[in-house]
Amino acid sequence: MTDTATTRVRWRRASLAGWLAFALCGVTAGVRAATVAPAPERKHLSDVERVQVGRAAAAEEPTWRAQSLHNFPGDHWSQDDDFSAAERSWVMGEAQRRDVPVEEVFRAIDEELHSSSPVQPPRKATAAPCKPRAFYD
Amino acid sequence: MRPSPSTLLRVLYRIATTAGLRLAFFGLLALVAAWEPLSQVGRTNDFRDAHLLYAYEEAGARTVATYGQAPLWNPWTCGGQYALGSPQTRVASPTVLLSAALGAHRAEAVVLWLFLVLGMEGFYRFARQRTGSAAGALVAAPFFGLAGFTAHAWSLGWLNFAGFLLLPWLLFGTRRAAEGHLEGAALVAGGFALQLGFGSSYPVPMSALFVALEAVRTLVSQPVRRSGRWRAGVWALGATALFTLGASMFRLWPLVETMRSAPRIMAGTPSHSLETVGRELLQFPSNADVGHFFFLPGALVLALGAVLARRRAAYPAVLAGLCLWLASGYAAKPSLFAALRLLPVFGTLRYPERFLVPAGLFLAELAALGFAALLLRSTRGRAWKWASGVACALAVAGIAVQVIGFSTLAGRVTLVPTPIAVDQPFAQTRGNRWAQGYFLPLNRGSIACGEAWPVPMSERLRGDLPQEEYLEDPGAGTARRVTWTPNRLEVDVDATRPTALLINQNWHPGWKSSVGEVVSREGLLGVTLPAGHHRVELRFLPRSGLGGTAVSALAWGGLALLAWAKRRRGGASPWPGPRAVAVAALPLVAMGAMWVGWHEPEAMPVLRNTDGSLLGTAELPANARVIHGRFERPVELVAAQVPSAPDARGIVPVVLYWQVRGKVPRSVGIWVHVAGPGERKTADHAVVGGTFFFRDAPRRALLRDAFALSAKDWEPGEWKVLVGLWYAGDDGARLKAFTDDGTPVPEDRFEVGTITVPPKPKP
Repeated sequence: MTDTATTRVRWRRASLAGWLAFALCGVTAGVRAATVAPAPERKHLSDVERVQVGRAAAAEEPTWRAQSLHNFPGDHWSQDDDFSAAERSWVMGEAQRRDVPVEEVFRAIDEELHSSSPVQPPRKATAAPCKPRAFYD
Repeated sequence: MRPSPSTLLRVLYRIATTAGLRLAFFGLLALVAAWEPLSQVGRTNDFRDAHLLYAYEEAGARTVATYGQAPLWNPWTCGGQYALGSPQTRVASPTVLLSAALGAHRAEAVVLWLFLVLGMEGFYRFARQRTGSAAGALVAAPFFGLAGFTAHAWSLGWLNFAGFLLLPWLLFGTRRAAEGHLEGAALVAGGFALQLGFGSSYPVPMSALFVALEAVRTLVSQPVRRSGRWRAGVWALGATALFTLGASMFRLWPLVETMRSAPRIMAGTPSHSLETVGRELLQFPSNADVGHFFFLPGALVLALGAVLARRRAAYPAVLAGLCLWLASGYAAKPSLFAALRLLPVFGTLRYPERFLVPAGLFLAELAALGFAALLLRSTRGRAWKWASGVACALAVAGIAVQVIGFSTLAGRVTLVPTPIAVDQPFAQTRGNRWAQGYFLPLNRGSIACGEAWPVPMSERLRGDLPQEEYLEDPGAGTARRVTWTPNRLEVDVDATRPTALLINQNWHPGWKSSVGEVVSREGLLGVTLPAGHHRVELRFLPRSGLGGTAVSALAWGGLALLAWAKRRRGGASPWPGPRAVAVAALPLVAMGAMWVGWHEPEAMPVLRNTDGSLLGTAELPANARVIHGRFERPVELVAAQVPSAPDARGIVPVVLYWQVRGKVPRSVGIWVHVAGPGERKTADHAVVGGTFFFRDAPRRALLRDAFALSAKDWEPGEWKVLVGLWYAGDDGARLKAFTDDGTPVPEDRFEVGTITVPPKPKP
């Protein structure tokens, strides 16, 4: 075999090894993503606790609504957005305080809304249609 | 024995030009850079945008995996949304299949890895074509592919910005197409189709801008002009543009249709000093305020070497300069970004700094040129040998720092435990715009919606209904859900008299019913029904989504046909030429036929103020104060309604009535000052009713601009409401004001009312 032919074979082998390495990188990415362990499961709210949490959120709602009204006067979507921020903050705190997943607290609020149908003002079971503010800077 | 520079150069060249080795290098770099994101997927990104975009993708994945349907309708967000018409969803990309297989969170990191490899490989091909140096292109590819913005976007949940990594493919394809290569057309069509399918409103228009420049650059380049292939290049680019339109129609048609019915509006004058731009681009992301677009300064040193390449360096240098100019927004005088915003689509761009992404591409091209120029001179003497040695060391160290910068940015994410799924029937809930990712696992739709555009939504959506399908007239009978899937519903209705079945989701013209007629009840999905027992089957079959997909399939069929003809007939094939343009135009003709022959109601925009009231009105109310104020531009302040005192809640609702009679610059906005005892409040707004600029307002219509102020903290006393116009996005000057008879008005403002704030009750 000539030097050139040897070199060509060597590079062909290197290319094959490269393709294998590339495939290995892809497989590693896939396996890593598929096998990362989720966060350990935490305790859930009991039925009674969900009712309590739902009622506690309902009791807070008029205050958050009134605050939103003045933070964004005349802007219904921004008021709901502001309300969502206040509610989320409360939900995170409540979940932390009770050491339960956040979605458990949201579930409690959802169940309370459905059990109070139709929800009356100043509380709301509706949301203003999305109309984002045109200014952000 | 030390290897000589020429040996090093040869080895580098062989590695660069051996696809397997090159991809292994890119794959490994991408794996190291994406290791942090790959390790995060067991948890959820808690940023609000990440919640929204995760909810979109998981909804699409669930629609595919659980219901075996195409992700056309998404009932879980905003009360029901056309998934293909929402600009930020990624569900029209093949990557949704990976999400369906692995779950949206886990798939995201793998998709990131794939896009990083795509970005580096695309840059390699683009830069090699541009610089003629495989080694330079190989070394500079990670500077672009692992630039900071992709990692920053990852940390905020904006994976769809990875679409920017397709930009070099588009530029590479454009040049190949202009040179008469059919695969260039396929690359451009495929690249844009993938960008569109992958979502986000920035990569596509910004890429289109640079693709247009690249097309011109190639056509006027010496090789094309001298070889007389200029005319063929024009035909090829024309056909490429038509193929791209056709191939993108599966997403473009739904997007255009949706944006026409719900236009996105973006005001403001975002500005960045040169220092800020520099820190965003060049400073290592050592803290949260800098380096979001991190592009290694070391690469700039290599880019300096591009002066050796002289003419080849001119174009990327000019384009990098243009990108920096654009990135500074309104801070630059004159502002190129402001000029760009005057164009359709570009007017909705909010963040000028995102032009630092293409700036990185052109700087990396310069780095490739500089590296190549130094290496080529390494045999000319000791000094050049040293210089090329330093360049090699700088490149290796630079790539390592770029990877570390990427990981640092990608690691800046707030992670929370992934929500646990609850198996229960679907229902809408009030939801929360800041935490949408928690509702989909509960199988609840969040009515609370936070998008960057006014999603068409019904105010009648409710999150407290005992059942989601009900009769408009409850006394007319009963409705019972039989089957629920995202794109298809079955409901049994027993009606003693004609009535309407209402579904607690938004109406869209794509919904079809097996019985009765689909109607919009103030934006809520409904079906009018005669009396009797009916099994109502509702299916979501949108013309734009299904028709657009057919058009795209035709476009790819046309491309395949041309490829076959080229292989079979060689030089006598229709590509490139007028017949290729005709083949490329056929799918669009078919689209026109579908438009005419496939009837579907049109969703018209309903223009409203931020308080939900209509923006247009036929006549002035009786209690309006007539003003007839004129300005130096053809806008009239017709009248105003100002209450004499705040309402019981302390709110002051104000309405201004405007009429626009001619052309008005985009920058003209409304200023409102409320002057009271010792202080002044403002309610300035450049966008009328939060809906359109005066420039885009309907001519001669009476516009009702409603807004409000909170008087909660105002001092008791009289407050005068003063109104005028100003160049909000310009120099800030007031427009000259005149009375109806042309008399100039002092201080160019009109007093439209007085509010008396009563003394606060004593505690």
